[in-house]
Amino acid sequence: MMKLLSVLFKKEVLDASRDKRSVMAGLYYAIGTPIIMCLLFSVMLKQFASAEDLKITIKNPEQAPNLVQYLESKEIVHGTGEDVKDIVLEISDDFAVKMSEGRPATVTVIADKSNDKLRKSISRLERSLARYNSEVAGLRLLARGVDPTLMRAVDVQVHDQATPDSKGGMFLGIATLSIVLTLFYAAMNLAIDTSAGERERNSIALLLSHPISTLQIVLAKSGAIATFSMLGLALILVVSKFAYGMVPWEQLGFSVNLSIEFMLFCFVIGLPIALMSASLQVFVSFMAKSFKEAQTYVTMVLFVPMGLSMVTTYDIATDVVQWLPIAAQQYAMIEFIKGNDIPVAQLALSTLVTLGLFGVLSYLSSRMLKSEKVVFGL
Amino acid sequence: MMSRSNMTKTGLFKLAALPLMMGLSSSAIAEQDNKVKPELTPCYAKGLDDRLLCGSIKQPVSDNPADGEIDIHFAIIPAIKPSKPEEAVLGFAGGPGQSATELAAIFDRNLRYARESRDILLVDQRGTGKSNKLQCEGVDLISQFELNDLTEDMDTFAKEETQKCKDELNTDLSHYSTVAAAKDFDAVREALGYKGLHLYGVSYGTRIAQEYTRQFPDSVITSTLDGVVPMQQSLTAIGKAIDDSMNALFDRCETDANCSENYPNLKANFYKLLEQLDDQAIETTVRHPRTHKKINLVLTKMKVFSTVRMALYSHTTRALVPLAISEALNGDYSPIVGLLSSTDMMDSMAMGMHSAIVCSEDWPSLTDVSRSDHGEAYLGRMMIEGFDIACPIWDAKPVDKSFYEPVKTDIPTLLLSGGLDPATPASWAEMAMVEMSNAKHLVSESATHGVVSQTCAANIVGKFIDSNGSEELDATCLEKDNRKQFFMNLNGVALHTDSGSESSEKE
Amino acid sequence: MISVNNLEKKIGSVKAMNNLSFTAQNGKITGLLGPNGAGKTTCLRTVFGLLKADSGNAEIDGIDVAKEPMAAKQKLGLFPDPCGLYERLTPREYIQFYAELSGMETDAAKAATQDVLSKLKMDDIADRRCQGFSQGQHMKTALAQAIVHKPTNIILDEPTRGLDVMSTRILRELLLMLKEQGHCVLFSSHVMQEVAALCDHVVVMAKGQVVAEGSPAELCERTGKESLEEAFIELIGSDEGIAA
Repeated sequence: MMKLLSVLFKKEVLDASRDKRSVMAGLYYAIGTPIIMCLLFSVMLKQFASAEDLKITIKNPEQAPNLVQYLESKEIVHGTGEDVKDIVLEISDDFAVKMSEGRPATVTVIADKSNDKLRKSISRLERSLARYNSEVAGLRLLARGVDPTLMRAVDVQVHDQATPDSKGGMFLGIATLSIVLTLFYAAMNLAIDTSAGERERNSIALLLSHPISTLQIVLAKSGAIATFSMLGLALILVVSKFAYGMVPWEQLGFSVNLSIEFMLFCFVIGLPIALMSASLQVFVSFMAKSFKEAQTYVTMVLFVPMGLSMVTTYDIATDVVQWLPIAAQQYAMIEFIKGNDIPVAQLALSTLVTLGLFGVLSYLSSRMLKSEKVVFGL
Repeated sequence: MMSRSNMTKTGLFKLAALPLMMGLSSSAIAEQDNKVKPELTPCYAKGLDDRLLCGSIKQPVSDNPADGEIDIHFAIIPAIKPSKPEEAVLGFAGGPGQSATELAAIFDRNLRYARESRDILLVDQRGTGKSNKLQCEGVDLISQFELNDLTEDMDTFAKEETQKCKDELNTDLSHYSTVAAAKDFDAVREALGYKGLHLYGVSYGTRIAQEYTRQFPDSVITSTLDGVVPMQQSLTAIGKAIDDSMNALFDRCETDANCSENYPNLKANFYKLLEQLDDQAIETTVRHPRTHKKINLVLTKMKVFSTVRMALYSHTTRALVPLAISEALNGDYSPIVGLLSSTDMMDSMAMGMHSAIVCSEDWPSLTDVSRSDHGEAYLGRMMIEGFDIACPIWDAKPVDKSFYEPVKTDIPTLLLSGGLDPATPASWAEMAMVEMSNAKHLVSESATHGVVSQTCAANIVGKFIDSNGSEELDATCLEKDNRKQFFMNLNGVALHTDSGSESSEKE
Repeated sequence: MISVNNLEKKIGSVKAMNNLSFTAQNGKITGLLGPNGAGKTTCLRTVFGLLKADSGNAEIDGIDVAKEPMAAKQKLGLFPDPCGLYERLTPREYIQFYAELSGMETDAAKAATQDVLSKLKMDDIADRRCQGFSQGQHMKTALAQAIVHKPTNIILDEPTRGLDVMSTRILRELLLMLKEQGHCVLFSSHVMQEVAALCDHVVVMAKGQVVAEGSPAELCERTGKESLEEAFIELIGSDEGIAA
């Protein structure tokens, strides 16, 4: 039994490894995804981190030279030309009078808040105005012999339990999403080729005519696909480790660090997913009537694990979803990176379910291969 | 050791057993190392959300074992991305007497660029913070307001207070000098396993940073001194810096059209006010700055001068100085009271440790020449008088003469000074760097005390540390003028412009 | 020896096999002749064990394919139609894979593969990938796979379909060689010349039934026709007249 299985497995691996196009497609995913994401992140971080001069239009500045100077010290200046943001700060005509009278002096911020590109600049301006407000108010109290700390009724101290590793939240979600999806996409073409493709090329009938069970065939195929998925996983982990290491996360006050321990952890909890993913794709490919159909179906079916993964990534998982396969494993990965306790119960259950699915799907595929309709694509 | 006799008997096994023996012995050493490595527990500092790691090590109080041990506490602000795990930035607090760990939020902000890749290490210098804080009961705001420092028995009062504090602490302050404390810092460094440190000292912190550099040059990668106190200089020389900073303020008011119009003859008026108080303190009733209860205020020359002096440290409070002086002359002491209100916030300063430093380092070195020189300025004179009363009682052992020699080093050193600094003027930094062969001095003309907190210098310091002091530093952003406009009335910088506003005020 | 006994199978509403029985002897080439849709492939697939008959059975050397598929298949070499190769494998890898699948040990499989490669004069293409093989090379590889484990019985489903003259010649020689060696060779075809030239025994099928069997000469004799082709047309065209 084992001998036949290993003969089958070796042939599948050999055959698949020579399928340059499918292997390359997997490699592109595993290598390309982290690199492309890191490039995007770098650009994004650059936008975040650079507190460039914010150029806006300040109307009536002569009414409030002190405010204008204050904003200047916060790098918010009146500008002309092209790079001026579409934000107008209009200082009222009676600003100086109101100020000296101790009445609120009006300034008007004129901007389109639905404009995503402006939103950050608007809130930066608003924040600076609020600070100016409290600075002037504090000095007014001080000048009257009142301790300005009176304005702070409650001294809010925050004890953030986060570590620099855990603050990467969303980025960690996306990083683990790409890692988990590798197990589904890296060997997708191979999976379709070895099942629907094998049938389309009329080589499956001969294989089935040999003294081997259909379950052996399915297991060998799934095993070979899972092997390539794991190869993709190893690759994306290594590439991610270096790619994420290059992104200057620390400028935002956190780090995304894929440790060797994390890579091993991913590898261990990834294996059941790889097997399940392989058996799922084989099953769906055999269900389809042709190669093309199989491609369509597999792509569609893969929305399910992707959805489960996304739910975890964007942290909208309900308590129930957190117990489901893929979601639970990815959640465990994120917690591992953050250095938190791993949700052992969820992880154990979902791993068992994953392996169970692998068993069920393999059995169903082997049943299908006994059906004439499936084998001959009738 | 146990198996020695066995091994000589069975000489053949000796060689075979050797690697194992070495393995055992080296693991024994490793275990010992672990024991020495202090236990780190998560902790938090005021105003800083991030989780820190706190711990302590035991240090001998002195060379004499009979003096016992002292727990030196420290906090680590973990690096965002620990790409330089063998380095740390060691932050030294000022005062002397401030606790570095309590100021973690400020160190974190000032050293944010350096923290991206390495830990920030904050150690409570012996006598401050959690490291056996030498603190006597402070004077509350009400008594401080009431206190008349002009009375005849003031000297006696000061003597009594000092004696009381000394009895309370019951500690030989000689062990709390800068020289003794430097060793604690290196012991912490060694215990935590950092190979090299980037020093960052502010104010008095620059003195201990220089002393550390002198004693442990091999542990220092770079040194950043912000508001430099040269080893050669006694703190009593501060009076001249205060006067300079104050004069700069008066000059600015005079050249400013609004200010000179609103507060004519400001400088003269200030000295007129001081002169009035010189003869006779003003006794009045004011509102408590927080409780609003009526309390007594005895306004003396010392109090007014000190209030203005403290206001010089920050641009925000500098904006109030002309108003405070002119209102006080007109008999309204509210702005003075407001500026005074923070005086009972000085709890964090360990006055015992402060005295240990000044009485063993700044007071003994005073000569007749320096006494008359420093005494030319009002506050210098007051300081010397105060030390002359307190220091004989504290009886701290003067530091060795060699302490006052400038630090000779080729370690990359960045010195930062503020042109308006009322404590450590730029000339002090020049004095400190005479024997430093690899030093750069940057001056921000409009900054006061502590350049990094007020300017873009945090960025410069980050680059300096990142490049181990090798990079050319672009200091142009230090030229930016960040002074604020003076308050023209109780409500702000804007002047009353027309009478229309007066009428609307009446409604 | 391959014997087919009373096979019945319905595919949809069509009776693909209707009480089908015949025997192929060792040392003989047996031809299964019939028009398209006669049920030849269904019959052979049932013998492979790929399809299950509704009733009746197929035996390989006396072993029931349905009951002991493993044992039966080890005595069987297959040349299915269509026979897709693994295009990314070389003939050597391909043949050895099937040798091992048929139960040979790795070393024995390797030796047997080399053996069959030389026997079929395939050494020049043995280590080239199958992709782009000519029909003849393709057929040889498929055949090599069928005989590598030296089965006593070899079944070929339409082996000459699409072959050029040269390839057909090669195939013919191969089949004759197998016959010489005492194998039982069963092949299906709809090409008269092939059957006439090769077969010792012909089974003529139509609509899932055996309509006649015997040597080509016997069949011609029985129908009174000159050629097998005409005999064939006579046989299947007048099914009414042929009694079971």
